Amino acid sequence: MRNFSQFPTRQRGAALVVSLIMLVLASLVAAGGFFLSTEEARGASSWSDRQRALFAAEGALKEAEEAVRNKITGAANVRQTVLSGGNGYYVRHASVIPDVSAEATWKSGSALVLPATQTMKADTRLADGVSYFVVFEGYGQATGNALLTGSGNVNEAAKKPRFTLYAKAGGIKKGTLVVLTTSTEL
Amino acid sequence: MKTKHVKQIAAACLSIGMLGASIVLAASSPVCAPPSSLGNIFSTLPGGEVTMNKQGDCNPYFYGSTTISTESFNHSDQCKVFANQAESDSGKTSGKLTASGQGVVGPELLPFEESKETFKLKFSKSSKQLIENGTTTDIKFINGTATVTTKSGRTLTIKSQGTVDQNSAHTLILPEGDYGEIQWENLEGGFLEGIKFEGPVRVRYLRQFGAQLLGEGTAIPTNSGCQAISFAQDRTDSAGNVQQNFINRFQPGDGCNWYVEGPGKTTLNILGKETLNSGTVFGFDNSQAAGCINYADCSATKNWANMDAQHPERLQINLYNGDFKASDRTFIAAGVYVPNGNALFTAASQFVIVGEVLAKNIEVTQNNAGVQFFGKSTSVAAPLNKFYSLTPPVSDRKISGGSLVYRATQRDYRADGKTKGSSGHLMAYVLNADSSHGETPLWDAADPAKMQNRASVIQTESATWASTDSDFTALGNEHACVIDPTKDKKKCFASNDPRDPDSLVGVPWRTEPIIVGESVLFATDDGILYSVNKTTGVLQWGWIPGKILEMTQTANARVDMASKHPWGQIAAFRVPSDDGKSEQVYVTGTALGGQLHFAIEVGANGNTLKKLAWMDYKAGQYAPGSLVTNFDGTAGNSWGGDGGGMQGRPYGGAAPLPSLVEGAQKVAYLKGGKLFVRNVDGSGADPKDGKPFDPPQDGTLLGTGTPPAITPTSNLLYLDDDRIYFGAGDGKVYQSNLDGSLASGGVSGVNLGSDPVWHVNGAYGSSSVGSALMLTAQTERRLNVLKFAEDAWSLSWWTGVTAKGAGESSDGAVEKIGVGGAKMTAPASIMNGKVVLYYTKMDSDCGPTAYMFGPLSLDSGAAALEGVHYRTKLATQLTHLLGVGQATGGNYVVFDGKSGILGGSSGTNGATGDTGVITIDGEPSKKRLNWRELTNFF
Repeated sequence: MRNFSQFPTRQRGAALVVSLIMLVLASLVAAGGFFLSTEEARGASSWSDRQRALFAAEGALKEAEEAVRNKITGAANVRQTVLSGGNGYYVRHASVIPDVSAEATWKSGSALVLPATQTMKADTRLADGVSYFVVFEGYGQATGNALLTGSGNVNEAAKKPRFTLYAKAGGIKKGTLVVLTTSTEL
Repeated sequence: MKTKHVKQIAAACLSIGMLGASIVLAASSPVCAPPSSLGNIFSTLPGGEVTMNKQGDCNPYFYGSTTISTESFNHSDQCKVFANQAESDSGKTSGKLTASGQGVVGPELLPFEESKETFKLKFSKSSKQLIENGTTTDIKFINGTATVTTKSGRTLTIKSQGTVDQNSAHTLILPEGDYGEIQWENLEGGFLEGIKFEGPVRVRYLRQFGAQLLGEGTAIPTNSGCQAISFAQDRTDSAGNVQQNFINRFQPGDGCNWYVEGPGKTTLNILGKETLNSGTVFGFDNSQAAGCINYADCSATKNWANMDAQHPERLQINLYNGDFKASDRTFIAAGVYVPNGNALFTAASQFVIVGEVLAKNIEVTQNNAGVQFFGKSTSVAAPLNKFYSLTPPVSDRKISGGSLVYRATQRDYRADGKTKGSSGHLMAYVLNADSSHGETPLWDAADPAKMQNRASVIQTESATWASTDSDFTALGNEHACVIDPTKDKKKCFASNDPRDPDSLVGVPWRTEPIIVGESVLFATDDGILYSVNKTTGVLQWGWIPGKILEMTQTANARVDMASKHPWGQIAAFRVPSDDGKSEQVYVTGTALGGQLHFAIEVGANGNTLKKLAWMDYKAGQYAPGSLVTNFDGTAGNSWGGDGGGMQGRPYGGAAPLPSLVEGAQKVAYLKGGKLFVRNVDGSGADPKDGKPFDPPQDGTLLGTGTPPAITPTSNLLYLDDDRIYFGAGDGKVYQSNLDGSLASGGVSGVNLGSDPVWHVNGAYGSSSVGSALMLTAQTERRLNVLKFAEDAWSLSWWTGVTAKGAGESSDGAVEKIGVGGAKMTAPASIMNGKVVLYYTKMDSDCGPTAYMFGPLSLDSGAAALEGVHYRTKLATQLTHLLGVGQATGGNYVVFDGKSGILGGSSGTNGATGDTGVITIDGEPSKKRLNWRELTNFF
């Protein structure tokens, strides 16, 4: 039977050291990784900010849709209602449509667009705010609706006005900018 | 509503419930219009009186009502009244019979239709003969049928119930149609029991020899060998005309009964003299006869239950001339109307009338206790003294409770309810929260206060109009009667003018008002297109086309336009300018039955009259379905068989309409069976005589040889220059281009039946290849849905009613109107892929009742009730009660934020029409939008 006491004491000390070294190395690697990812995240902060702006702009599109829906619902004359709708409302061919790529269009306080509401007060650092404008493009014929009334007149209720909606949102950092567009039939 | 009626309806509903019938049926029970009947057993015309036994007391018993409608009654403290069954059963009268102090105006009778035949049929025990121009022909029965031909070529097939010989009881059955004289006899000991008509008849002389004499006070047994005569109920022919019985002279025999077919109404129009234009006035004399006239269980004791079980609403007797006389041992359940004579009842013994009697005067003599009068509604003899509307209700697009709804209404009697005199009224009603409205309008544009500036704002076009700002000119003094027809009534109204001389506004008939901005525009048969402020009702402008002005009156002549329907339909639409920054609003319309078409430009809010763009008048060339005549000059048909002053289809001769291509300048219309297309602003080429419809010369459309004429009978659906659809008299829908060239095959290959197509409409449906056009083609009795798929048109489904008004459909999967006696009285509405129909049901107790039916899936015709609300309540059935009167169609609205259809009922004698909204979609979609990012393009 072997006597454990025959093993040299020095050998046991080396294993401990090696273990400690390994532990330290592992810790260094882990710490290094941590610091590296933070750095990378810092480098990609515009991406995160952009996501935030994207969501805000999408919300603004929805808000624009609701706003124009409320404005024209029941209106006998959609074209004139939009033409006289004030800031942010335009009629294709009859209005000067703002340039979506021009910074002036979206600048805070611009009379060309309408500011979207922002209820998340804690996140109001969005650099240039959120805004939108709408363009009346004309009418489409709604499916499933009578083309004529019973009296044989044109059924205006079946003529569905079509709009192009534009919305822009900035990010937390200055310079982050997202512009979205969609078309909708109301 | 009469208490009795309420009880009846409640009892009916209870019975239905007890029988386990569906809640659907119970919920659709109609609500009766109370004053659609006279309301009392006796009524006299204004100035009339009721007299009970001038020499003695008032002994008869009155049941059901404590009053009679008359100005003068000489026994108000004597006659005995049982107000209800309990009183009757206990024999304790509740009070005295009193007079209302006011007479009642009767209804307008139909023009009497005299038989065109003069031959005589003579039936007795021993012989059956046809006698004509001195020639007698024996009528021989073989196996119960005999056939004879008259000199006019009419073949009569007479059938027999029972064997025709001298020893067998039998009844002869005569077909509907015209007769000269019919005489039958041998009711005592003989075997000819009577005659029975299969349908409505016109007879010059109906003569009945009865010899069954009964002892005084003896009840007449039923089935006594004296089943004298049986009349068929009124019908509607294939052209939609109501058919009733017309008899110049009716001489009933003693002791013989009359029967009616039931359960619908039988109307007996008795001229009371030999010929329509001359002859001795006989009136109607039943005083030597005794019998049961539409009286069931006639031998039973005449107590409350027996009388209440009668159906007087099934027989209406209208006597055009002379007095109506009846005497002892006569039992009548009917409405009796004697507009030009008296009702004279001589009753020393048993004598009972159940129903309503209206005459100049009513006199009962020798009255004894066995004389009983039981008041029960007949829903007949009352005038249209309330406002009613034949057009759909209109409103702003976005409405809710409190919004205004506009109705072009009319009235047939003056405000006193007594004197004839038609008038037109544009009413604004306030909608209730549930989308119905009350009886009292917020305002009436015909109110003199609203019309006070007529003199300064009613204009006609100047003689030199040239589509400029000075096209219109005020009327001069020579047109004072147009400016103010009430000012000098004798001067302004022709002697035969049916208008109310106190009325400033003519009758709109079926011309639906339109809303333009802040104005409501409406047109009436005084020839004027009016614009009033939609909030206040104040007149803003009026325009009478020079052509109508010239026909209406010349200097110092009278107004005499009300006997015509000069207006058809009006429409409004906006045409954007080339730069899109402005728009012109054009109002187009038809007048004079389609002989005149026009377009005028009005201000954006409809409150100013700007320019006359163009007018197209062609004498004698009409629009399809015009209220005056068909395009070919023949008499216009009625829609839904409404008859009685509602001639003309409601929505056929539409105003010039633009193509559905956005911003189109061109409008199209039909006149004289030809197609006219022109620019709405009057620029461009004049279509002159229009384009006749031209089938392809290769025979692919209408076969080879001389093609049959294409007869447009509907409105136009002007999709674009190559797709102009219209319905035709051959029951098809055709597709034309601008030149009138008809497309070969296609939609015209679909056969919809033999009835003319009176209304076409369309909707886009979704399909695997994109938006697919679907067409609806409505005939008098069917809504057909045509679908374009795989490069071919086909009839997808249809639903409708039979000639008798029972529902039918193309197959079991397609819903059908689930009642009998229905008429489709307006074009269907289509919204969100669903169809809503309109029908009117003739109810024997309540008169006409209006319903919406649906929605059905446009794609399949199946029920599509999901998410549907009617009058704000979740709809659980397809039938939706609109109210009394005729269903007049609907318009598209947004009610309480939901897309819907505002339907209307016309109203009737006692109630103004009503409205109801069916909403057939939900809240706006909350789904995410599909967006595209533009940031990367910066």
